[in-house]
Amino acid sequence: MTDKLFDEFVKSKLEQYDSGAPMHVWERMKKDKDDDPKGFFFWRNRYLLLIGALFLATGIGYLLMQRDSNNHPSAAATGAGNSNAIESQNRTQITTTTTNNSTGDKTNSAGTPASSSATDIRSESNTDTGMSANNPAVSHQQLTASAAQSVKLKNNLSGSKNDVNNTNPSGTIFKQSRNKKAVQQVKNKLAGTGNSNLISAVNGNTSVNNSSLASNQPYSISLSGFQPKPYLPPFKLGNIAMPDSKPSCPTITGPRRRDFYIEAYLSPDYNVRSLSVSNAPSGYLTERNNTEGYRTSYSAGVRAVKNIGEKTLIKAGINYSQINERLRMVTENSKQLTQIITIRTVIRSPGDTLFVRDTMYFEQTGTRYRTTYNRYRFIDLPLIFSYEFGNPDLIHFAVNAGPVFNITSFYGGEVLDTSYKPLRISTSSGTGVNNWRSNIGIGLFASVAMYKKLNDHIDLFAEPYMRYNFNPVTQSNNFIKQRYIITGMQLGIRFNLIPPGHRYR
Amino acid sequence: MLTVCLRYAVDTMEAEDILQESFVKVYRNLSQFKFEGSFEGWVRRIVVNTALKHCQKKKIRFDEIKPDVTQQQGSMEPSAYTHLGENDLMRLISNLPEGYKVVFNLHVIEGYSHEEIAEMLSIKDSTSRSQLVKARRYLQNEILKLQKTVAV
Repeated sequence: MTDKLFDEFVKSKLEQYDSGAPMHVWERMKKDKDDDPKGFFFWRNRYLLLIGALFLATGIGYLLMQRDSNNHPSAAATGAGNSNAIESQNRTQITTTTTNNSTGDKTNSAGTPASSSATDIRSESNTDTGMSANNPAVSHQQLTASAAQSVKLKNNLSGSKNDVNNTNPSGTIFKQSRNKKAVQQVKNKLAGTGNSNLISAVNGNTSVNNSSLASNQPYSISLSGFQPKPYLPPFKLGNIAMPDSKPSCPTITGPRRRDFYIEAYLSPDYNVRSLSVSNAPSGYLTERNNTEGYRTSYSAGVRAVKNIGEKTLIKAGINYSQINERLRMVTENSKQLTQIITIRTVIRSPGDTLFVRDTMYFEQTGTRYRTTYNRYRFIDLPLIFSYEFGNPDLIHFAVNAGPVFNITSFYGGEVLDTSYKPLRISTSSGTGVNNWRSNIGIGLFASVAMYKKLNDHIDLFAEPYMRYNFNPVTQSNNFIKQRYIITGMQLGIRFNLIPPGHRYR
Repeated sequence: MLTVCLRYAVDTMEAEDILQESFVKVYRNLSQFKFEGSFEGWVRRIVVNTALKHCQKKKIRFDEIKPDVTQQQGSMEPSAYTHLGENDLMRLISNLPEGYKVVFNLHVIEGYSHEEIAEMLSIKDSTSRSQLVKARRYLQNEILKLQKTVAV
């Protein structure tokens, strides 16, 4: 027997072979069929929810950081034993003015001598106590108003889409989409019947009684309050085109991976600061480096990960990173002038109240230690391409790289200006040395990750990374170029949203 | 369609899984059927593709057959087929190594060419041809063994 005959023999044998599917298979199919649309909708909405959550988190983070950005430098003065003691039973207003013998700046540090306790209390007055202090810090709030617009789409018969209700005897309503030509055909056919009421009903965007059409029309348009005929043929219009898309047959190149992950991570960071000056007083760079020190930085983020191939993935999310530095200045022979205003209330008789205001000044001399914590904050949108290799069931690795788009950058703290005075960082409209970017643009991210599988849904990962920012945090017209290269170790968890049985389709 | 699934699956349970998955796909994508060709053919193609996916999930290997099997040229007499039942043939096909089974089913039963099979399975044409030849020899030998057992 030749091969061809053998093949035909096998084919003919098996063509006749029939094995009926057991009943439980059909029941499983029915359950799967009923469950799936809900699940599909759920997953689709979950993606939308995730995107919404990312934007929400970004907004909240931004508002919180805006509030935090108004931090004040901590200052301490030594010398004459300062305290903010306020005597009770007296309304005392204390104003403190600090005079630095070299800078003469004003701060909100208050010093109240013990002499305030010597305030005279002349009668059994029922006075209260209050304090007000000058505060040079100016806070501002940004109010954001959002307006929502709702758009209602109204379908009518003259529109491009209409719903025509077709009712069967069991009362089930099938909705079929119709285009304008279809409606025109309805009109034409109605015109052929000579039923002007029906034509006007169609023109007037109302429905047509089914029973009145049953004798002449193979279709009907539903009306409220009509009695359906026992049988209605399906609506057939010649100009209704079949969908152009091909049947969604499964791919013939094999099952495709369709994993979708959510990754959340925290990272202790180490930053390499590059500080260069082009036109600054000699010694300025040295003074900056001496007064500013590095403190622990960190970053955190959430990202969505979708595979685009068997081993390639794309990641996108929100990343928040914060670089912490400390500015520490020591100023000797600092003089601090303190103004104390004491208000006393004297009630001499019912209805006869006397307010007495005493003003006094005192000056302190000492060494001033000024410590400011600077914070450089970045909110970024990383778009990372990843290539995975290794055994996914045990430990696997990934090489990641991609651009990082800065959404916003904001800073808090102080830096030295060219006269070595502390100058508050401002991203709004600073000049000279105080000229900072509110958006540092695009950076480059590269990392190597190691994943350890915990169970079917969860992996732990450790990802040493490096981010290089092309732009400095200072503006281009600033004579200081302050740039950061951020390195760190992202430690996080990866959660696979796709159930194990559905990861290959 | 369950028969189609049985030819690709290892056991009945897997075949039922394939059938279920296929029919759910058919149901979901019913609106995309273009009325070009028979509906059964369209469904059959979905079933075959789903079965292939299941096979490829297992990362099937196109193994070389053992020399003692390949060298045995099945001197098949027509009489050897006379008593071969459909269930026996199905069982023998199911017992084929994965690579042989897939190629044999696709070419002999479904009628795909070697080029199409190569594209479907991401293999070379020559691999598909050699797998088919080896599958055929393997199957013929198994039929002969079965007939000898019956004769004894």
